[in-house]
Amino acid sequence: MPRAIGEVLAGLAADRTRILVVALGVTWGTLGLTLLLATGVAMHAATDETIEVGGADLLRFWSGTTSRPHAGLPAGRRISFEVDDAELVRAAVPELRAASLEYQAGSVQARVAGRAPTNLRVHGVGSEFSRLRGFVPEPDPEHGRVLNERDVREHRRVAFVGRTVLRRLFGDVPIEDVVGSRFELRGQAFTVVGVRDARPPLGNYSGRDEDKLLIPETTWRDLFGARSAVYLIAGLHGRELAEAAKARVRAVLGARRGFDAEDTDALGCVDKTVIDAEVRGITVGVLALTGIVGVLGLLVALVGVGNAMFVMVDERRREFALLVALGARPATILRQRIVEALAITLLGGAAGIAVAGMLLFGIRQIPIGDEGRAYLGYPELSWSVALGTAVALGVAGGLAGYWPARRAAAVDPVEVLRDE
Amino acid sequence: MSDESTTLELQGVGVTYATGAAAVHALRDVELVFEPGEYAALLGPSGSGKSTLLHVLGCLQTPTAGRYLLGGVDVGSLDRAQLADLRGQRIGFVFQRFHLLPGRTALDNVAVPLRLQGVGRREREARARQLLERVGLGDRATHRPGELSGGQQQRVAIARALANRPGVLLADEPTGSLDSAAGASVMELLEELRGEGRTVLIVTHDEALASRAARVIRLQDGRLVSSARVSDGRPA
Repeated sequence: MPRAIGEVLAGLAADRTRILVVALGVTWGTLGLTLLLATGVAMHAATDETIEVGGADLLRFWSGTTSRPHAGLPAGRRISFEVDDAELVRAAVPELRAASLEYQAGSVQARVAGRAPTNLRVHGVGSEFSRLRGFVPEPDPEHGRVLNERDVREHRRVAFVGRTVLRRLFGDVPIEDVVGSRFELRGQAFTVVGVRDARPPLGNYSGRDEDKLLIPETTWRDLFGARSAVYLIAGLHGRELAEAAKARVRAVLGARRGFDAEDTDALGCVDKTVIDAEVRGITVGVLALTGIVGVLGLLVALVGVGNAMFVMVDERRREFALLVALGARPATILRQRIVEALAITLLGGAAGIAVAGMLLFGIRQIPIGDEGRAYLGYPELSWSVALGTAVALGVAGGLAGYWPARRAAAVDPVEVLRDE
Repeated sequence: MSDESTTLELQGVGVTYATGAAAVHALRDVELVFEPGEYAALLGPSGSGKSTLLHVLGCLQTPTAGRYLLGGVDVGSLDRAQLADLRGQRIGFVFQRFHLLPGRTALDNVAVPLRLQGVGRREREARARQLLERVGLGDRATHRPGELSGGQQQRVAIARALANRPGVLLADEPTGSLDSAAGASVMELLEELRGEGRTVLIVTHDEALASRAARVIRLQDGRLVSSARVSDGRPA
């Protein structure tokens, strides 16, 4: 093996200027491929995570107005959620893993002692809401806890807050100092039990999640009276169950509230599985596009390798013919030329990957904010990207070298070495 | 080296090139046997087929008719890899224009056949150095071909041809690119090699050079005209 490597290096050294130019072409192609793949992969992963942050496999129902008569009842009746609807559908619809009502009240005055009051949007939610919608204090456990069943059952005056709410209430203080702090809401004392993760979700509704303040639904009703919930949030056991679950929820509530199970105006629904799938499809498309563009760029560089190898083979025909005359097997010449092409490709490729690694480090330092990061992510030189690039380089380099190598191995010493 | 394995036997050998509709007969029905240790000259005008015959004998070209047996092995039955092995192990070539690798030193050039046979670096260098001493160029080992005279380059080429201790040495117009003094020196070297029991075949169109061989084979239009043993091949 060292002998073969020595041979290859000697062959390359003899034509070092051309080799350098060709290797730089491969470096450029690899750099493009690596950057594009890293960006595409990061975007795909970030979007996937963002989908999960806001809660995956969710159905969001809202109560509307009936559009057709049903069971002797006229069209145009307003449908409202009742306090036990979440428990009802959860028990009756096996496709659901969890459900929660969501009440909303806007412009509710809140204040912290010694600070100016502020108006907030206050959401009353069931104990399963936090997990369903990603209102969790992760990743830092010191950022508190979610609202739980006991909070709901005991009508506790506790709150889970978004980052913006936290700043508006308490100013710029460390989050861990806020957890356990008290504030007033509509003149009632509340305690902050948790602060939401800073990552923005996919599919905000009724404002941004970081602007929301959650309290137990029972406490909300104590505070604001017998208003109807705005939404019924339901989590699926799997995205493929969405259609069945929607039909069954409408059937269950339709039977109770007296509307046609197929009357989508009476009980509207935003199916987040559809939105998630569309967004995922876009990122997969972007990933494929970046991959294709990157591979095309690399192919252009590898055409250069193949071209240079053809020129080298033509210029060294006499040498190959001599080697054949002196006892070199055609397979040996073939192998050495392929290894030469691979060496150029891999050396150029390694340089490209190294430069890409440095550039990606720089790109990650660019401040683009949480919203930007939520969809662009942190492009990095991952093993999968490096391995994918290396495999592409190896295969393409071998192919680029194969045909010139065949020409070299097929050289006829009688013809080439003929002494005119 | 000079044993039965180096017997060369041509049985009705012919080489025909197809050039469009016409066929060119470079060799026709050649019958020849070279015993181990022979020193022979192949003589003939340009286009007589002497170089083609040398290529057949050197396994660079396979006959289109007849059989060529090298040490009893029918060369026509061998594949490209086997032919390469045969050339590398049993045949040494000397070309009119030397064909040294220009970027390599004399030592490296001599070592090329050894490298192709997988000889280790240390042994390769030792043997190449020994061969350069043998052809009188021990002090030129690190010189590149461009730094050597024509006669010196041909000596390096002869050293290279001897690297794997072949039983057969084939030289195609070995003095054709040299002045008379350098040519005479190269011929003396080749004659010495014959003295070591090696079969030496030289292609030439020079009657004077051919007359120094033990046997002169004349070709005309691809046919064997004569094959005569004229002396013991040593200079008077």
